[in-house]
Amino acid sequence: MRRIFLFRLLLALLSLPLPLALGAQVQRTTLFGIGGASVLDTYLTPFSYSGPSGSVSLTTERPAHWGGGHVSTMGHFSLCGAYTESPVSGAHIWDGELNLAGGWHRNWHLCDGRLRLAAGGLMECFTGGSYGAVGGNNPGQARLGADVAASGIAAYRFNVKASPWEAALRVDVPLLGLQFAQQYGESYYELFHLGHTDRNLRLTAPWNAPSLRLQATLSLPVRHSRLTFGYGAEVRQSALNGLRQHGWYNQFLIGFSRTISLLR
Amino acid sequence: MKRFLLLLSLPCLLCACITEDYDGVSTPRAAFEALWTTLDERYCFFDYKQVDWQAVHDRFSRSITDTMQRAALFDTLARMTYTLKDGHVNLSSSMNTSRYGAWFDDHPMNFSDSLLHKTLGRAEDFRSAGGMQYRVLAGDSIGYVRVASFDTTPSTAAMSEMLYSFKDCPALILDLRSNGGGLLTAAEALASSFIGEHTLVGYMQHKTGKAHNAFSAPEEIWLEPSRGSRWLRPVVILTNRRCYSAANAFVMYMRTQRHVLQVGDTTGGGSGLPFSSELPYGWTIRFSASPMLNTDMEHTEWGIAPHIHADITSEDYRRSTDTILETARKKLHELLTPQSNTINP
Repeated sequence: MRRIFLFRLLLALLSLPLPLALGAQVQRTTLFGIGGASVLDTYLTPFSYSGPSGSVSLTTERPAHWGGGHVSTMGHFSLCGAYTESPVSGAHIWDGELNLAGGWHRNWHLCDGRLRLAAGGLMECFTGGSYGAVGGNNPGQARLGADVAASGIAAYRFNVKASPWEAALRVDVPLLGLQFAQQYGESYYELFHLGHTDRNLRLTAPWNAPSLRLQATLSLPVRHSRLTFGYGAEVRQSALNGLRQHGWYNQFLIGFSRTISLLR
Repeated sequence: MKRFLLLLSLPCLLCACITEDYDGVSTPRAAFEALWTTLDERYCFFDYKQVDWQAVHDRFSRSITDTMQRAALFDTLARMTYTLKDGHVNLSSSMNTSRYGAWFDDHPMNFSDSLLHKTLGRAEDFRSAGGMQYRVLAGDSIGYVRVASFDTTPSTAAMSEMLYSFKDCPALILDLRSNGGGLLTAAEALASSFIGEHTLVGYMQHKTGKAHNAFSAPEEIWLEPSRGSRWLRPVVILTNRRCYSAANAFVMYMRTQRHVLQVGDTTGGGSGLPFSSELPYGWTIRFSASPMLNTDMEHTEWGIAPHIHADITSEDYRRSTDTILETARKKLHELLTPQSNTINP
């Protein structure tokens, strides 16, 4: 009896409307990621370290007050971390990064409203760092920066047994920014203790900091929310002041989206 | 639609992988090349020491074979690093840590625990705080401070207490012999107790690229006077060849002061702030990365010569005479007058 009730409840939930048409709705997506990461920072070591990683992200999309209903705003917060190991020894590097972004998208609704394409821009700022026990006077590296990123979304709604599912792809690519960068052989003793600076703020663009955030997700309605899962890639790279860095996060994402209707 | 997808993929095309130089494979050849390249790109004294690093590569490369044992490989690589004549260049593995030692082994020791014990006396005869041991010298009015290392930073309170205990002394002897260094910040903290004003004590630069001569412009190093007690009466620093790294920097800072005299042997040097990097087999290499210069913009990598040179001879050891300490005492008594605080020639 209880199973039948739960089955009917599930069917009822699956018939909930999709939040695809933004209209006057706010969509909040919380995703947790687990996977692997590869971390390189030639200031610390010439080797790429790899190991498990985790992340949490929160993305909010809502209609803008302008743009005739075609423009939406997006806010994004993410925190990711990894505990990586050297390929040649048992040494470890902790890596972590906090990212905050906000911006706008112009939306196009195609295929009878089943396909939403959005393109826009984000203002991003991030901070983080890597820390390991390999170096004595160079044990860690801090990261701090801000950039303007191009952002695109493709979301397609389809039905599976009368249940509205949504497949979405989101790509953010930083185009121009400013980033703190240690000089090639500069020690933190010089920078922070003696106050010696040397081209520590660098302009970044895809040719010296080719980075990317990608989320490919599938969501289906479950109760009042939507279960969302998929693949997430966070590719952070830079080659500044002769030092090369990368943080490649590949993760399985799972979380939920909620749609809140705004009554005005 | 096509245009949108093209627009979406265009930024992705701009992305390129930024990757490592080494794939993590550990072979004798990979270890040799990684060590040579790391030093080639990041070591800071090639030009100053006039080392032909390419010639070193060619010479040692012939010794590397795929079948050589790790111990033999380690010894070969260690010998390669010795060509840099730098105590800050150390190859480390679980079996050994290489260290170039000619900078002290080829010189008199000029120090012994027995002589130190004779100077400090029994444990209850001297104070010990902030990494320093100190007392007023027996049968004299001169204060004596033993600073064996800069591994810990003495607190302002500890330094003030130490100086206050010498309030009735006209002069002080700082014994830095065999102080192998430690934290630059500890050396700065102690030196700040011996300066009276905002003082330029040297310069520092760093590499800006892989070329052997790619350096930043030297930037000034300033010291602020301690917020606690300050000692502006005459000071003699005792040095030997084993005064190295942060101890060498401390002497460099102190040599800017006119009330400071250096007695003993030339310091060991070690003026390049060391960095570390990783090699195949999990070995690590430490190397000089950022050179420090004195106020005349001269390197102190080979050491700082004393104002008054003195050595402890075999006969001195037999007689339990610390010749360097006695030279310092004698010089202080010769130079001291009640009003004088300038003994630096």
